[in-house]
Amino acid sequence: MWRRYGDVLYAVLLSVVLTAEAAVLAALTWMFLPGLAGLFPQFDLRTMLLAAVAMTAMALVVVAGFVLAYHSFSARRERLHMEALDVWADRWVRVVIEHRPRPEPPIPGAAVEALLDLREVLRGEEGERVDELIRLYGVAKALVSQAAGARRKGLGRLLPRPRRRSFRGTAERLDSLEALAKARLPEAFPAMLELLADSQITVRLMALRGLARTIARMPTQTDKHRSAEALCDRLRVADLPGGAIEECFLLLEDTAPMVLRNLLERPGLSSLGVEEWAADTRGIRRRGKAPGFRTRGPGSLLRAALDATGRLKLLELGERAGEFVTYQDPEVRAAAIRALGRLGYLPQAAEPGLVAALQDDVEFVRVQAAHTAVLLPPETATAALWELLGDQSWWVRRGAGESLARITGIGVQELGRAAHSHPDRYARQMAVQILLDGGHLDAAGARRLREAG
Amino acid sequence: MTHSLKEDPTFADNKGGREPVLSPDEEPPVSRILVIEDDLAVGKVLTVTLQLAGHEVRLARDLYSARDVLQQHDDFDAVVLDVNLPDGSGFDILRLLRQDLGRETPVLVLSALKQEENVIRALELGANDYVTKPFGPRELLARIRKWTG
Repeated sequence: MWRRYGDVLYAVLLSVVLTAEAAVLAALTWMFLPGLAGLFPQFDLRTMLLAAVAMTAMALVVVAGFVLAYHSFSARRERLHMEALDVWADRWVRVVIEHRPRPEPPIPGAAVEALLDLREVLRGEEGERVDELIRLYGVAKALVSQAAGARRKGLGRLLPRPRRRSFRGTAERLDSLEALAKARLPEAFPAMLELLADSQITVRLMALRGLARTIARMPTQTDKHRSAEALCDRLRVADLPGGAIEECFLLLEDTAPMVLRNLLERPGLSSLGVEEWAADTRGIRRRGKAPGFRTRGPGSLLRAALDATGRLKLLELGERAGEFVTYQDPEVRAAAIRALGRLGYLPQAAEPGLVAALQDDVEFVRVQAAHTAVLLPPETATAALWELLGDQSWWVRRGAGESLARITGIGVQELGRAAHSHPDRYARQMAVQILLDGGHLDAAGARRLREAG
Repeated sequence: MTHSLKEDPTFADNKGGREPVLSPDEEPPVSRILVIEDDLAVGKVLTVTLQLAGHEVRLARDLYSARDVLQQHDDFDAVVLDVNLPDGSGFDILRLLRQDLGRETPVLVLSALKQEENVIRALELGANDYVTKPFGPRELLARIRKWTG
């Protein structure tokens, strides 16, 4: 059951009920043990059995009653909150669009939530007016203080009411960071940057999301450039999984090329090994809150940057992405090859690296290389993919077959030849399957080829 | 569900307020506009903006009620449509309007989905315009005016 509040009460209630139930059952078990029943002369077996049954029934009634009451209470509370949000959304919209007078501070939590929701949907002059209101009511200052984990007094009124009483510690900080990400206020940027060194991974992740969304809405190119630089300087301390970092790169919107170029062109980033990276990062984090931690190394950051480059189709970073095709970390090699495949561009300098990757020891690197091999000159690609059709991995064979089918002219011809005469039985089968899937072969023809072996 | 403008006593004394961005003076002919939007804030912004511009607004918060409204009423001058609705895709509404009901009502898609394929899909299904969130209310109004005359 997902509970937004009442955790402590629920835990206490369950503990009491289960302890009482366990005590009665334990006594009953004891009495049933041969020769030991006499230790409880004051209770007979019948009384204990009845007590156990009554206790079980009572436990069920108490727990079921709590759950039902909780749901009823939650639904009512949620409804009231939604009504308050509705009223405040209406009020703020009229302040922003109709220029009606703004409410006097302090404002309740629902008002802050409605104001931040409005910031998410408005841009232009109306968006700026929402920004002014957010500043006017001191929302950013309160949220920054709370996100940093400060014990505060009176700030609770700026948070959404249902969360105020129940979410403590981390949850409260995460809520504040989420609100800051919605607010996208440049003045909150330095504080969020500091939180990249927080000891909790969830706080670091939310801080990074907030930073990405804030940079995306920075007012000038200079601000964006400076912020992107600062983010890249500190990004390594976040030490987050590649997928999480990649998501943040995508949140950067049109600032993404600036940040990705900055990261990929940093000599320190690409040349550091995992150990050097760890030592270096520990040095940075010692100034933060968590001196000791295990690092993922530069791999996850590079992988995320390369994947984002491919997804965002940033052709201008193709040359740089090509340099990572021979990188020491196989995850990074695979990401670089995948990025080139998505860009549809293979820099000349990366050609030998891609050819070598077709014979890589790591399976997932060969899979990516097989898919991207279509970017090689047709003769080179055909010869390499012919070989790869006989790879021990099904995924590599499939990738090689699909790539061959995409090489205009000679690709399908080569697949036909492989279906008849490739020395490897699995390569012949894969070639038949690809031809069948692509409509180059009918079912009867495929059956004949398969039967021929 | 139709939203009406209510007078709020807290707004009684207008201290320091500038002139509204959208003045009721610049009244175009009244149009009936169906807004299909589940987000509370977006729904409010659209309702207030369009009403201030003199339009009559009807708001549907999900696919089910939007279908219901469209099947019962054929007198809307324009539809503002969100793509991500709680019970389905706004593209289903486009299909319903253009293919099943055969109506040419102008449809402006308002969505957070910025990818090119979504824009293309909406236009192919018969949308007249595509605006991404966050949006400027005045720009949106200008686009609606273009289609409602």
